[in-house]
Amino acid sequence: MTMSLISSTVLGSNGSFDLQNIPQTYQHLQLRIFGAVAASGSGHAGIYLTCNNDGASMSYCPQMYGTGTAATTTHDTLASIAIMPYGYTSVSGFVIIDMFDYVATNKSKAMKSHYGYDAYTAAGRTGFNTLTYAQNTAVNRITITGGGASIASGTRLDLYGIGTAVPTGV
Amino acid sequence: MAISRFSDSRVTAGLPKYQKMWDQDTPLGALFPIASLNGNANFTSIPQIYQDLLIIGNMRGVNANTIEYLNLQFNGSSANYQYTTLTSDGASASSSRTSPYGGAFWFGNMPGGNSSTNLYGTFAIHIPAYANTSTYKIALCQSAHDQNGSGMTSLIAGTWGSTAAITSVNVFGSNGANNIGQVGLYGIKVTG
Repeated sequence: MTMSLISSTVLGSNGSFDLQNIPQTYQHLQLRIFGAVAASGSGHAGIYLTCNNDGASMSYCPQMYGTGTAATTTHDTLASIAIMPYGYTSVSGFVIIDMFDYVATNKSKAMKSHYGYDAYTAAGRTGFNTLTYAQNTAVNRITITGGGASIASGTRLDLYGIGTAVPTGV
Repeated sequence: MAISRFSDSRVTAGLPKYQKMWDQDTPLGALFPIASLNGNANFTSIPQIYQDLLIIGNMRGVNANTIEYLNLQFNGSSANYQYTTLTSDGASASSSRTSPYGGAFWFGNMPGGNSSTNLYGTFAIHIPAYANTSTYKIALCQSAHDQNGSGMTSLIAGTWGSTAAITSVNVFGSNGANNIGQVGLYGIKVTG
């Protein structure tokens, strides 16, 4: 497996990530997000991934996760790809998203994420999600937004290209 | 005239972007092998030049049990580990924050010394922003092992309540050491 850095972005203020003109030269993509969302109080909130600025084609999102007290599986109709924490001192979340065959023009685009945080003074959440971009078009733009909250200033998103067909996500 | 011999490690540390070109191994990329250890997986003096760390390994214990715990410590510390788990044992899924070991992240189980010969558990551990000194450190772990009728899969997110840069990482079993297997440490993206 070869893994090449495409871009690294650190938010200078609360907002979102908009990755445009993604090179079409890799087999798969991996996104690695380290940081938090911005909201009052403390807790966590969903983050959302959209391909090619086409939110209508992002399909529902089966997921399983642990809360520290229970294991849950559900179907997120808002299609959040992961959650990130907010309001816990010095605590960050980490999200790894793999998108397979993103340049294919004969299939929908499958994604999975592994994410998690522990609030240190309280339980966090760790889980495994999937998401589909239900179009056969190649993906050249990815947007990551917060749901009810912006993604926090200082959050970093690294985008990598994976060079072979070897499964990723380890 | 004094002549000094440069070791490979000194050369690659000085030219991090060109490690793989130097090794003539894989094409230049963002995934850099740092070290590989057999048995005791205690990585020390970790270079502070990468964005994230990735640990991939397979391991089995030597204690007289069918399973052993997989544990993770940073910088030799045995304090301030908190984590949230999601595990499945083939019959049910569960989540907790309790530690069967204490003083470390528990991130799953592996076959012990009484398990069938040549059975190993496998795992991957992501440690983002390990070199920063402003936030608590995270470990995002996956582990799995199967013993033909029993086993476990685990996802674990842990927070180590320290802002210190991580300079050493130790992966060990219930007995503290003397495990069998191979563990590789990788750096992801050069920042230094």
